[in-house]
Amino acid sequence: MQMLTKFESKSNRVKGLAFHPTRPLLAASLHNGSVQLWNYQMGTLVDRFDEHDGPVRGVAIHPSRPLLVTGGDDYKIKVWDIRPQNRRCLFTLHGHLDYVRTVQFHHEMPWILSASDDQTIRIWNSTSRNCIAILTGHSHYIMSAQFHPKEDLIVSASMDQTVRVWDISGLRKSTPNTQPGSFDNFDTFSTVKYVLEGHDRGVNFASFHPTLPLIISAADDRQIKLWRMSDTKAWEVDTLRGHFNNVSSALFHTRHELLLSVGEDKTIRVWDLTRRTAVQTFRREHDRFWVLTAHPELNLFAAGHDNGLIVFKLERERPAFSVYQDTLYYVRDKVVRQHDLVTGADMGLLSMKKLGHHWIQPRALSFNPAERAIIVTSPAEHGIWEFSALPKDAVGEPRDSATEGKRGSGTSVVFVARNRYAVLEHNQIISIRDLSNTATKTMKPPVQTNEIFYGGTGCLLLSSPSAVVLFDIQQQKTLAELATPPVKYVIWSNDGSTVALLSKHTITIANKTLTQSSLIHETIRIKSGAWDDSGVFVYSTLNHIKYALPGGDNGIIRTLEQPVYLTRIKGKTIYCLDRNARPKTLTIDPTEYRFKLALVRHNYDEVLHIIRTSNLVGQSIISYLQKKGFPEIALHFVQDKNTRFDLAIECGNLDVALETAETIDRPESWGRLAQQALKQGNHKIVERAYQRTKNFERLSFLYLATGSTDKLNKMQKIAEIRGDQMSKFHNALYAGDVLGRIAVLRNVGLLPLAYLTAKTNGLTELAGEILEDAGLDVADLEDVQTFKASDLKPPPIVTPTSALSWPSLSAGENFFDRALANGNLDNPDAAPYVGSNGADEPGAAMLDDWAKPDVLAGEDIPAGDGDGWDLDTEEPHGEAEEGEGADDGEADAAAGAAPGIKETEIWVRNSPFAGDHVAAGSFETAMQLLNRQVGAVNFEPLKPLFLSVYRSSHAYLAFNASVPPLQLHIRRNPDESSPSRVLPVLTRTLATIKSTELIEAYRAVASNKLADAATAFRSILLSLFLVVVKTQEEAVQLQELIENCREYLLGVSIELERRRIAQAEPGNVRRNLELAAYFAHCKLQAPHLQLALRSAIRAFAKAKNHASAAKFARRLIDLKPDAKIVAEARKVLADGDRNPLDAVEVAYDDFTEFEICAASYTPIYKGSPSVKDPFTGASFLPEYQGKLCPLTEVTEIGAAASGLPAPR
Amino acid sequence: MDSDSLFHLKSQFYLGAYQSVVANPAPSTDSPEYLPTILYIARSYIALSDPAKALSLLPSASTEPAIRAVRALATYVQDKAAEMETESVLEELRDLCLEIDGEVGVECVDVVKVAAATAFIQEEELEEALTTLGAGTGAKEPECAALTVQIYLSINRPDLAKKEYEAAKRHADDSLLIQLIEAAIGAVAGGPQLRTAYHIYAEQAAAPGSSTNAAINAAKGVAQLLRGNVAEAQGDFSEALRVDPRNAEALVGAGVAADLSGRRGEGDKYITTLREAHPTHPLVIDLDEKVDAFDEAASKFSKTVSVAA
Repeated sequence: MQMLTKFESKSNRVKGLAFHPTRPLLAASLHNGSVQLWNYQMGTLVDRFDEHDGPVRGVAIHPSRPLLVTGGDDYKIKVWDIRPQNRRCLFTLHGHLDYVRTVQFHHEMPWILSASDDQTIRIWNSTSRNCIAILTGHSHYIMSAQFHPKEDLIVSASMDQTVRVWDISGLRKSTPNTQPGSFDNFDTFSTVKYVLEGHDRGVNFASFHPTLPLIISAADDRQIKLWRMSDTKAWEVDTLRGHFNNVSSALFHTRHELLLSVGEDKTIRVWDLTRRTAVQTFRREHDRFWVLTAHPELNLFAAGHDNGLIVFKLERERPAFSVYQDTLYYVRDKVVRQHDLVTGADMGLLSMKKLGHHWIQPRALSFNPAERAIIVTSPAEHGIWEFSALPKDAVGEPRDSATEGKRGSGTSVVFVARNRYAVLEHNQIISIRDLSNTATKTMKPPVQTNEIFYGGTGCLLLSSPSAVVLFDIQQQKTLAELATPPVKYVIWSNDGSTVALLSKHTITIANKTLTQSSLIHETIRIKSGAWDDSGVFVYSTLNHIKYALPGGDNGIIRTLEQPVYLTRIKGKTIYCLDRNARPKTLTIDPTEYRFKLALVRHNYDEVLHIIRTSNLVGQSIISYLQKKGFPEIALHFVQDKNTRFDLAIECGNLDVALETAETIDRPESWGRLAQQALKQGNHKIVERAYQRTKNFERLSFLYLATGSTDKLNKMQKIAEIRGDQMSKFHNALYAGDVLGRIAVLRNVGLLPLAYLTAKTNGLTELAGEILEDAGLDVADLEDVQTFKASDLKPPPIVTPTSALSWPSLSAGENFFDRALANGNLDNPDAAPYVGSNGADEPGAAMLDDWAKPDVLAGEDIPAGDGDGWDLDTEEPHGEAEEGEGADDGEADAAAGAAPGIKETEIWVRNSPFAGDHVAAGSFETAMQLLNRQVGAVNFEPLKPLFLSVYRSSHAYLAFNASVPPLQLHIRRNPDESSPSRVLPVLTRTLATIKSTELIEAYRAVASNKLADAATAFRSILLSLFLVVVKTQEEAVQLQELIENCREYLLGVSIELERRRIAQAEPGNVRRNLELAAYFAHCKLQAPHLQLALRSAIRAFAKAKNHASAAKFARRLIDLKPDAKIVAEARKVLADGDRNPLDAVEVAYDDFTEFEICAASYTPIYKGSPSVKDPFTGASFLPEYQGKLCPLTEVTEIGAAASGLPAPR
Repeated sequence: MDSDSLFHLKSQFYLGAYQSVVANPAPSTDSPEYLPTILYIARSYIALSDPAKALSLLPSASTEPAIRAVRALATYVQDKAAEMETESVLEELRDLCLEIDGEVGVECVDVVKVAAATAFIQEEELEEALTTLGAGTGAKEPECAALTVQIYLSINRPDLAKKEYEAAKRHADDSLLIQLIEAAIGAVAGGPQLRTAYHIYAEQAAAPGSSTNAAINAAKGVAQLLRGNVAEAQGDFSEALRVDPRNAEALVGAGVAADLSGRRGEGDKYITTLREAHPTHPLVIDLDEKVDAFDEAASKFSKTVSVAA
């Protein structure tokens, strides 16, 4: 057994300890009067409470509220609020007259229990803050008092050498109306139930067993005593001796049948409760132990000593496990179990009870799928291991591995190959052993190796204190070395290309040659990890499940209450083992890391898909995207218009920016938009922005720059309305509008300027006018300098750009701009399938299409030659090939060995199915079979099928250099090796035909591609010749499928013929109607039958055969089509009722049962003579006897046939 | 134990990564590894159907039997491809085999035998090949055993192949070649041995040097195919074809996998590529033969039958 130290602190002597029930907190009361609150997970001091005077011995944390109680040598009991925002001493309980030794909260009542050197035990009501009971009876210091975890009992230990059990049930009854009263009442509440005498010295501690009626006590006589009690009495059960100084404390292990004790002899001891023997002793050099406590929920203990405290657990809780594909192999209670992750089936396979000491759990498990064997290592005896094959399935009690397993000693053992495992021996030698446990090789590792792990084919990963080394076993050399903290676990990705090396606080993710790596630091202990199928590493720490992307990017997936050990990640499900080695599953949302992974890999389709299908939002993802340089993606997560605007500006998406600017409508936004748009040269948006902000100057200048004169004129008008003369002048200037300019100048009274402008622009008349206005004449201006003609005018427009935007700044359109532009997001792939459930009655449209005669396809049915044709009387060859080559006997092992029987020959022998014979390449026998079974005579249509089936049943394996590869034969029963049962692989199966070809064929019918449909159904029928059925059920399905295809092929052929006639002989209404009726007679599926019926209704109604049309309409209504179609049908029905006559007489009598001759498309009424096609069962008029079935073009109509072979 | 580079070369040769073998430079002639190294490289050239390079690499004046044997094999392959007479080269190989028989201290005896047997196999003289390889005599050389096993397997005698394997295993347990022999036998025999075969191929395919080795990935794919794991096989073949788009076995396998998963046209595409890249591949020849066989068999039923209409 190991003591695993989780946390240690240095301080003054620790006298009292208490765990927080849910959070990783530990309260420690010290001899120097201080009370510390530690976070033992983080290793930080969370708080200190320093109000006691002198040593504090008692400390306890409330089981459900954030309260702490302490009792000190200052006789005081203090209750504290430990919430950081609220931390303070709530109140102090005065009453004890000497040191307070222990304090405790009751698990449900508001009671505080205290034990004191004043020889009393007191119970306080923490609500009323009064003492409600004083238990007297001990005659010396009372060292401890503890409530029973469930019952109304108290156990106390005293220096008077006794342990006492007190009954406090009376107290509970009278609690509600307890008043702070006289001391006299107190004793009536409680009675001493038992006095346990037996210790020879003072007793330091006593406590109850959590479930059993047991008490444990620790005393200065160096003994631990175990007591049992019944309803009426209590007695000593046993004494545990071993401590060689005072025992300070002892308690029961919460989960195992173990006892723990600490003493002044500087030891922590573990005892077996049932055997009452010492299990293990952990010594400490200098520190005497004073106190011991157990976590109420977890396998965690704390002990206080002279110089601080330690938090420890006794066992590793990480179960030994290994995952192979969907199966988890793990060890629980020393039994190797197998857990199917898919079905959840769980069973024990092998007991490992005898591996190491009873209490020592195995440490690691290595699984070998090739041999279905395991190696389990245990830390017992400094490392032992056992190699054992797993039984195929466990029946009853798992058998014990000791009976046949192979054992050895070594600290770390792993399988390195199918038939080899490596053992790290104690003397730092690695031996490679074969399955019989003989060492085939030994080697010295190049570094100090603590543990070895599988390192890929032929390699080991050696974990040394400062690095991992990739070590080639065969060549015995170091291939690579990677500096890491000591690696504790190694997890390979599913494809073996990447490996995660887990240390205490770091994860190194490296490729398989350790040449590239990234390092992730965690402040919290890393517990376990597993690879997601997409290549993300998911790991658990003490309190989180997190992910790491290949580049080292990581984040939190969810928080954990309790640590778990991840075993496998599949999609949203995490499979894990909890601390009790029970398999569990957790559901996570992998979207975030999938998304980030897709981003990292530039897999934008995936990114897009995730954006479309998930509601991935939140500030963190937006800032992540922004940080990683994908503002354009972030844009699509944001609803908030301001952020959206910012992002749009950032990624230059003007459309979105404009749209959001409209909604925000603030000058500042418009300004930024204008700036961005200007950068990109999109002057339309700039214009809009300026317009919205009424930035007339800029707008005018923009119009000037774009050469938009009419807009400038408009601006002039606007300026006029605004009464802004300056602006008007500007615009006139920009527009080259001299008159306008002059007008402005005149308006504002700048007549000289107006005059000169007019003058220099050659507008003499106008100049004169101005002059007149000014009351002057030309003579007055003689002294005015003359100017030459003005050439001030806007630059000529070389290329008018007012209508088009300038070349955009960003040349290429971004993937996301394209894909995500404006709402495109919301309508993914439009349904390509033309169904009949569309909104605007596509059914009707389709029908119209159907009715057009010009959609006739050139379906050519070969015209019969009419040759005479005699019956095929050729006898099949039967079992001609039997027995050949079987006589190889015990041929010489030497050269010249006779060839053996070919696998293909075996296949032929083993199967009566033509498909299997084809797979074997035995075409002739296959044809004979088909001829006999279904009357096949013309094999040409089956030729491609034969060749493809044959080809699909064989593979080639290159082996030695420069010689032809080995031909291998693919079997449908790969686990079978007995020659009498091997059979070829099934190339054509009902399932695949149904799920692919049949659906396509249906689709062709629905979309009115009848020629395609005919081809498809014929091709299915041909495939069915070679289908092999294994069960009766499949045989039935095969027959159904054949008939189904026959009906469709027949129906489609009839319809094609009808269309041909409609085009070739438009006058032949009668035949047209007949064919339409026959088509509707074929057994089609409801949606297709609806089409056929509607086509027939239309044809009959058109030909004024109202009575028959009504009959079809009735059938149509029975199929419950869409309401619209029903309405249509009802109309036809009504017409038929009004006018129950048929204008054209047709050969269609729906009162008598009939079949349709598949060659002549004429009815064969029940009772009339007919012949059948042996394969499809299609009916024909007797005159077609002996011809090829037009449906398959393979079989002979009316041929004698034995039928398809029975399934086997 | 061989030095690192020779070990690596040998592994690559056995795993069929001939491209990476020939990428190695020949060592200097006085190096102790000169002979084995150039033999591997030369044989890889031959396996890559480039006998001329092999001949240029091997000194024609050498008296070393192994070099002469590989030269002879190269000449044979070259002549056969050119449809020239090959009897004299075969005769030379026979002489070499006699020459080394009983001699001690000849280096690379196995190469001589294997080279000769390879030529005999191509000549379809399986019996002679077996004699040359010392089949059934408990020969010590794994390479001879490998070739013997292949012959036995090709004539459907897995029982004898197994015997040969057991014998070879006694001499060189757990060498790579022995494992590959076991795998080949497993692939043919099926059942539980097939699983072993798969694990061997999977193990090697995951080895450091195998990412550029189409042959081993193809072999793994074949094993998956035989096990009925079509989708996984498809993945392996794609991987192999990514490395070497002309790898014959991967092309065949990919075609089969496509067929078996119901993607009809795709299979034909692979076989067309195969036909172009390897017109003499056994499958190509076999398929052509099967077409004839079909026509012949179908003709037995062909009577003048017309389609009813």
